[in-house]
Amino acid sequence: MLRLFTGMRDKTINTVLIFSVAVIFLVSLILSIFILQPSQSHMVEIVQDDTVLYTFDMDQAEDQEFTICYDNGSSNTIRIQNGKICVAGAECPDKTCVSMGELYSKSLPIVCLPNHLIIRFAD
Amino acid sequence: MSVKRMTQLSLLTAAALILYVIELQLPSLVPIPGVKLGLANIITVVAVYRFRPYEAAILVAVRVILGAFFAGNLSALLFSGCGAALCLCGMLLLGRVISVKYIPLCSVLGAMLHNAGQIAAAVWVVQSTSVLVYLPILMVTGGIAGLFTGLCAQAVERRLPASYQRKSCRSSKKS
Repeated sequence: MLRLFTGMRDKTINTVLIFSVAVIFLVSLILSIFILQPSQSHMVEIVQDDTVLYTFDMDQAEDQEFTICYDNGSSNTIRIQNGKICVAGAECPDKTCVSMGELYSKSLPIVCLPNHLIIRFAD
Repeated sequence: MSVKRMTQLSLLTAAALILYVIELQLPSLVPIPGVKLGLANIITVVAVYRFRPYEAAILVAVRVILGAFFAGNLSALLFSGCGAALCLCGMLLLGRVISVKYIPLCSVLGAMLHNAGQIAAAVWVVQSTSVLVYLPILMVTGGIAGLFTGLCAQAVERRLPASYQRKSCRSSKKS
């Protein structure tokens, strides 16, 4: 199957691979910088399976904490403080959403994969 | 598979699991899911160069499943499984064309494939392409982590006794 490659010299393959890795890396780096830009939007929505559960205006929302419970016994506790939203606690085993901290970028929503919950800036 | 061979594989699997558990204790630097060092990948890279494809596959499968039990996080099994499978397939092919001297290159590509596999699984689970934004970030961090684990793998590969060697290279002559 790899007969095709054996004809090529090792050096050529390595050069091609190193070059492609470098290109992927640089493109990703530039994209990452764009993705990590803080959002200008004030509207935050909490979505589960394409259904919007809550919408908040971050400039007006008062500090609060509430829990979203699911049929399977799992839950997420959402906290809004000083115009920032974060997941304060979760029943899911990995707690990734908690460790993600506050929502700050439009393109980087807080996602709780086990509960299919997404917290993101709305348009 | 001879008993000796199986013992060698078990030893490497145990080493991979130890690395995995150690890594669980390290705090994550970036609050982005999926960003990690992937220390257990050191063993995978070594296995790709020193073992037959199916032996490396067994090693990775056992490590991923037992690792999920140790972490107490079976829901992450799908992601790590998809990532590890894509990473292993890619590295097995790359291991044929990239010489031992360039192990870090193989590892970097493997790490990137691992993250791509994880993202693919996440897209499938969430049924939404919104998770794709993680891809560039994971490519950058995965590239750096892959370079590090690749250098480690090179150091390990150099010190591993010659008895840890695939007996016959079954592919190139027959096909």
